[in-house]
Amino acid sequence: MSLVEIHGINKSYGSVQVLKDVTLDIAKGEVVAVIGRSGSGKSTMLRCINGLEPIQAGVIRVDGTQVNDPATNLRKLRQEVGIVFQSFNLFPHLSVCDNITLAPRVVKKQAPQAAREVAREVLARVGLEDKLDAYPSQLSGGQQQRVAIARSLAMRPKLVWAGEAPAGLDRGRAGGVLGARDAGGRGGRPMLRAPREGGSARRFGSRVVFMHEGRIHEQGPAAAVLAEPKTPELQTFLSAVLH
Amino acid sequence: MIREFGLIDVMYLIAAARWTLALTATAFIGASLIGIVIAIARILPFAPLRWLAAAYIHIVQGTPLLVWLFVIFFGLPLVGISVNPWLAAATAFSVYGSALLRYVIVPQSVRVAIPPTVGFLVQLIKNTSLAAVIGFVELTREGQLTAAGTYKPFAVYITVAAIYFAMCFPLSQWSRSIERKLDVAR
Amino acid sequence: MKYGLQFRDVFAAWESILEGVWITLLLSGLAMIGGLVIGIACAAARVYGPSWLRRIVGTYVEVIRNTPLLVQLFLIFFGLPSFGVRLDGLTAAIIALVINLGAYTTEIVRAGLEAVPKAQVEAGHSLGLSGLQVFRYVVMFPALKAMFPALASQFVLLMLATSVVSQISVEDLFHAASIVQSRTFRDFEVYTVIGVLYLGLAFAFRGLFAGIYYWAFVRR
Repeated sequence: MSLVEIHGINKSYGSVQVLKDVTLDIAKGEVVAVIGRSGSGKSTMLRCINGLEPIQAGVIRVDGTQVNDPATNLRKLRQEVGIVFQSFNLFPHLSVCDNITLAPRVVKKQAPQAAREVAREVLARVGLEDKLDAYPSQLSGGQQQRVAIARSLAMRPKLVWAGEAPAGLDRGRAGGVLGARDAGGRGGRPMLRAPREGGSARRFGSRVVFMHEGRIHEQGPAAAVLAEPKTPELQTFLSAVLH
Repeated sequence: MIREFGLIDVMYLIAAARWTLALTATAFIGASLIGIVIAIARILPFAPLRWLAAAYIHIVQGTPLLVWLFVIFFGLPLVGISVNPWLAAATAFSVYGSALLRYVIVPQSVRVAIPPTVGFLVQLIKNTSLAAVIGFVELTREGQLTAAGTYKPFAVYITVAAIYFAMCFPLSQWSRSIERKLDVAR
Repeated sequence: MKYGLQFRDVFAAWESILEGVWITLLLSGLAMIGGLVIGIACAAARVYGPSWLRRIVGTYVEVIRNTPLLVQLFLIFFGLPSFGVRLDGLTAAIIALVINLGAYTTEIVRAGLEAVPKAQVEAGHSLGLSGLQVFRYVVMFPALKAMFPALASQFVLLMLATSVVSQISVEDLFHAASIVQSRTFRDFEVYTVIGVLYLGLAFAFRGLFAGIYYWAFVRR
């Protein structure tokens, strides 16, 4: 069974349909890069996966739990799905450490000392261990992005979604981040990424999914799909974006 | 002899509301005039004038309207004017209002200036109720007299409140709809 | 000039004046606390509540904000006895001030709550925090910081507005003026001194709120 199953989902905002019959399965340990223009539906799909947005048709299942079922405990589900939005969303009034330890302390009732150690560990993974007690306003955009990833990792989710390939992660670190996740003991965590540039998709994804106007147009192994785009939309997208 | 609170009293109350509006209009003009003078004083290159204007605003904003009402009411005789509730009230409201007007005078476009101006008008209408305290017969004072005459204070004051509401609420709503249109236009 | 201004008699009555100051401060403090509690509850209802509740709160806010405080005061003090509810001046004053301030505070608190970027609220939810936890850890502090200046302004206005309670014979600072006036017959001087005292109080309040703002929100 796949970790994430998305079957035939439709989503509309009023009369505008933003997701059209989208189907996607992600297995444990996979890293998937979702690419597409803004407005293609990538972020919307993300928001549906953890229940931030309702869907009008179709089924989404994370580790067997159906997301769009009204009986589902969304809070529990969201502890398993870590999200890093394109707009970072670090809480400006809390320090980096407090940002990261907030959910573990408040939701999982972790002890403050233990939570702080976890924070130190995930920060080290993104290369910012020395910023443990800094405030978001003191960090650059790229650093805030990395802290946001660390924050979602602290909850030990089964799935991590990054809204954009973090610009601050270079190859070495990315390898470190992904590698550490893979060594998570439970077979690693699949990652969904939605970079706007195909270039980073090549670096990060083992599978690439191209979305256009609410539909999945192409998907397949990263190298193959990006080297030989089959549909004109993907060709246009790649030529506009790849360098 | 207690009379009943009837339709005729309601008519008298509504008639008294005319004085509320008259006082409001006068104070609006007065406040605008003073406000323009103050606004000009604040941008003149003459430092003591600027300081005086700023001090004026701070002083006016830091004292209750009732104080201005009474100070001017009792101050009029000192400058040779006999006691006159209407004049005292109009002057006091003009002074008090002039310090509030800087949100109105600054915006360059008339459209943008409408919501704060309307807000100011609504405040003025409510403030005129205090003129009752120095004996000027506007809506609230008429209400006091009617309540004394009919021994039905609740009914009277509810009616008074309703009349104020009927004057202020449409203005507030209008201002809000303009604000909404401005937001859409942006 | 008809006669020279004389302030000496006014200053001699400082005890009455001081009692008035105390009552004014008491009324202001109680009204601020009560008004803030109502404001927070109503704002929360308006932002998070069901639509019927939003309508009720909206009506309350509109009615209060479009009628004069003096009339509201008269309604409570003179009007309620018609239903057998006879309140003394001080109690009626507090109730009227709280109800009045509550309406204005509601709008200020609501603006503060809505100033918190939605993205942060969603981030909190996405981490698995419950609605209440999101409110407490993500929304509350930034909202308080955003609404503080407007709230402080409103509170100073309230303190000045407490002068109307003198009209139902509550012995606040403004009422003290009429006591001194009847004793000394120095009308103009009395009210000028009272005015200066209010000015001092307003200055003190503003300074206090600025200090609180600095201590709570700037020192990080």
